[in-house]
Amino acid sequence: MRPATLRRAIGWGLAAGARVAPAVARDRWQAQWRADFTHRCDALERAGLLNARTTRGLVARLGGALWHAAWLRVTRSGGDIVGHDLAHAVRALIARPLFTLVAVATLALGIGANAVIFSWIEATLLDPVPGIARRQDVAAIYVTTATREDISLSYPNYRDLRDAAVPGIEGVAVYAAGALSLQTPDGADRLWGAIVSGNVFEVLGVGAALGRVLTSADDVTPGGHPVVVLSHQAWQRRYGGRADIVGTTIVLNDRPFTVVGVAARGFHGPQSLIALEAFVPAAMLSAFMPGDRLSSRGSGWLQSLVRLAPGASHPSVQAGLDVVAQRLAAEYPDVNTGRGFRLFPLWRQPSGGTAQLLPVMAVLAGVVSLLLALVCANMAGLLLARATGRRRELAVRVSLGASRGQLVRLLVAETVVLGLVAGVAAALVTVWSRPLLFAFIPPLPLPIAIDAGLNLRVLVFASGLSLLAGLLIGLLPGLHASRGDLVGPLKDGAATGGTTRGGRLRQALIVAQVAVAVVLLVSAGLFGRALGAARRLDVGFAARNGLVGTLDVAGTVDPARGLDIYRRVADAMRTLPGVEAAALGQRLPLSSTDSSDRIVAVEGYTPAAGEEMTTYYASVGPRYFETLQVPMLEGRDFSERDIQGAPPVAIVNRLMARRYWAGRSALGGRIKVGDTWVTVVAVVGDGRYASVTETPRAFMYLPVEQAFRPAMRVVLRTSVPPDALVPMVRQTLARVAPGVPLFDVQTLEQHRAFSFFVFEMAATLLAVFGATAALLAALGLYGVIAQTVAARTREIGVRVSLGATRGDVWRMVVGQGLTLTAIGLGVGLAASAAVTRLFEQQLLGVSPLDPLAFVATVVVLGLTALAACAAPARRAARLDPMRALRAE
Amino acid sequence: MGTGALSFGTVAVLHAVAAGHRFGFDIVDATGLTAGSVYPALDRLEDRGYLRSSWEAAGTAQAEGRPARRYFQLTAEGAQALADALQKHRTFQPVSLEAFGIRGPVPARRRG
Repeated sequence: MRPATLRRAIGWGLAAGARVAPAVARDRWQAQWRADFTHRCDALERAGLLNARTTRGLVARLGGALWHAAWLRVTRSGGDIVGHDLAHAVRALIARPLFTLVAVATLALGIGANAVIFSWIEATLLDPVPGIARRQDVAAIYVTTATREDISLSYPNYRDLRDAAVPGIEGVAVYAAGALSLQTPDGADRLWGAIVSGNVFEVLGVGAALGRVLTSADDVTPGGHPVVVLSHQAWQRRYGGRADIVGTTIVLNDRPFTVVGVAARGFHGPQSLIALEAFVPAAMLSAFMPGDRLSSRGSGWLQSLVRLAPGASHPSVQAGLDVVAQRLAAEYPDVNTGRGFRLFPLWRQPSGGTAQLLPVMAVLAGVVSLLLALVCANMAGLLLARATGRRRELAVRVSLGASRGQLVRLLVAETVVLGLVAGVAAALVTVWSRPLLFAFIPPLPLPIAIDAGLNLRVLVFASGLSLLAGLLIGLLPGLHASRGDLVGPLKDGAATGGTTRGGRLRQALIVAQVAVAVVLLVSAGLFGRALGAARRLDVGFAARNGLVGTLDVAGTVDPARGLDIYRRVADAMRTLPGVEAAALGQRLPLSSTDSSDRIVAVEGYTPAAGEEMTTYYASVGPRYFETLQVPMLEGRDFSERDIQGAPPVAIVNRLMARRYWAGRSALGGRIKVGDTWVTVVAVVGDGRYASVTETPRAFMYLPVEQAFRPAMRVVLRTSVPPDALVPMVRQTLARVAPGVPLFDVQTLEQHRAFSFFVFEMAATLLAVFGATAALLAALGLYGVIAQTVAARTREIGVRVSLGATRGDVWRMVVGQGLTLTAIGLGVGLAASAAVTRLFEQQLLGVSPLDPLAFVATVVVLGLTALAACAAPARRAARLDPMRALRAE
Repeated sequence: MGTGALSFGTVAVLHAVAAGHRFGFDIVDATGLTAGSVYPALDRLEDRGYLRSSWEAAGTAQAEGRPARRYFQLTAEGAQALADALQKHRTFQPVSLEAFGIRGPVPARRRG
């Protein structure tokens, strides 16, 4: 900053401070600070010491000057004005209990809705990995290609990234969450855990509640570190918090592991929103997955978390990551060409629960902000009516020597008190709303961990919002009521003036409320339509009469034994009465978990530079497509002969067939998966693989006999209601595969419904908020119309005595209300057209200008407005003209 | 105005004035406190009668082409209050900081 600029900035700061300082101390404050600043600036400039550091010091002192001015304002204004105003406000509010109750309830609704949604955002997006140190410095790294940015890391690439010492990165840790089988006295239990790099606790800054956490020394020799750390919750729940747990041996996936410690309380693992119970070093991978993923650079299966240095900027770290990515691409061109690393804040991770919740939370945040705006407009209207009625009281105060500022402060003090009381109510709402979020999340085959509720941040947010709302709704009526000549009318003994001007402001507020209600109702309508579209959507498989469960043979990592169990289970299920078809598959369509992908090469297809050759795939057993009723477009299904040693085969979806074998049949085409060439034997229909909103993707199936997986979904197509079969399925399984547990049994319809919960949640909450908004706008409208009728009593009497019929009067009053509504509708529809485009992606093809949603909103709000005006209009129409003329 | 015990920061301000720092910015520098706490403390100390403030002689300031500064002086009451406060703060019990690798004269190992 140049010296002249600095001096000017100081001058502005002091001018601003002078407005803060009270009149009695203003001149002295200004003289003292101006002299001190001038003297110091001169001295620094003379000594040639006016540099960035000293400038910062001067700016800090300017802050001190403002603080000094504020302090003088509080202590030197002559008497304890703030305290006096507040005491007066509390008395005034107690004197009108009904008004106070309605006002607090309305405000609590607006603030409470915001606090609840903020608590959800806090729990799902801001703090998705609770229990870690300095959470603002933790981020995630994903692998990117030209078209994707959600790819997992391979272990060798992770190791190189970790050792690259990227400036601004203090540490990189990786993990892969999954189900483990824990041996218990009565068989086996399933437990969600993670294979983690040894440094994960150090990187996240998580300590041990008991024993020790894992360290890098636990992650050196493949197969050589049979140690496990339990989560605090698992220790309490499964082992009753036994103090001697450290040093004991537990059996995971048929292998003994020594418990070396329990992680600190509140930490539930590195995976966002999922509560994991056990953490095993990555060196022990062979105990959990077949194959050698630790040395395969092309196989991505690890999620990462990085610890950034305090203050490290994301762009500079990203630049460092780009350098590492370029180096890796040069060193290992076959798998790393065209691949990059991208740093994401935790709330923006492109995969997992946060990715699904981010758009919903964004919409909800917008909705509740609008609702609060509407509540504030509503309250401001109400207070405006009251303040106008209080002009006589205010005039008396002015004649007794009160300044305008003091009047405004008096009125604002009331609304601030209202806002703060409402804030307390809103905090209570937040506490009670804890289970609400879970009402929307359907049962998932995953231990969801979202701890929404009241915490310090939510409390600070709610108090700030209460204060702001209190200030906002008080300021407008306060400024308005204290404007103009208050005392004149008092002297004349005239009636309260200013109704027209106050009336116009209130009308503007009504228009604003109707407009906000329109936006909310249109959005609710659109999400309702999207929900309908989602239910009708062709997801690529038939959901009716289907049953699915998870078969876990993780206890047997020996593929031969696992495959034998798979075969026996599938055969036994097919013989059950009521079962039309049965099959096994690594995953179902519409699953956000169990996703695998790898880089493939296609014979006869030359990828364009930087083209994405990563393909999602799944291992499935014979008759998988028949059971799920996925259309087989050409070729043959996997058969019992597609086993280890037989020619490797694959089935691709239509999109993949068209992409790599455009214009010819994919049958007989060859794909290189890892080191193996597989031959395409069939093409099946496309589906939605991870979510209903995904962009269509290429998908490949491998026979489970040639690509073993230690956990499979068992799918049954039934001719009877599927629920009825569950006991029989369990008995059969216990007979043919004793000791192999079956988890997460649900119908295919329940499985499909999970994909819709986002739409259901958005549609339900928006409908509730929209209805609330319509109701508040109607109440506001009613208030304005009723007041107008009261103010125009005399005029109406004149009209009637001059021959106006009751119908004329009714139409006049209703017409006024509907005119306001119509303006509000116009503004609201225009705003909606602009706003709804923002969430077009979430609407599943429903147009953001869907006519039904817009027309329905107009009809609903029109009728509501009519109802709100009808009562005052009827009253006006029934006025006795003689009485009306006498009215003052 | 209040006559309660002086806060540690207020004592520091009083001490700085007694040590000859007479202007706001110099006192901020001498105490290491923020301007936002020093200036109100100066006003409070003046209210209590522990300090007296005046404006710089117009000649001095004009010679340098700048406005006159407000300066502070210790009063007799202020001197007494400072003496009392320093006496009170002298009664800090000695603590050992050897665990942190700090040895020697802070604070000397002796009673009283």
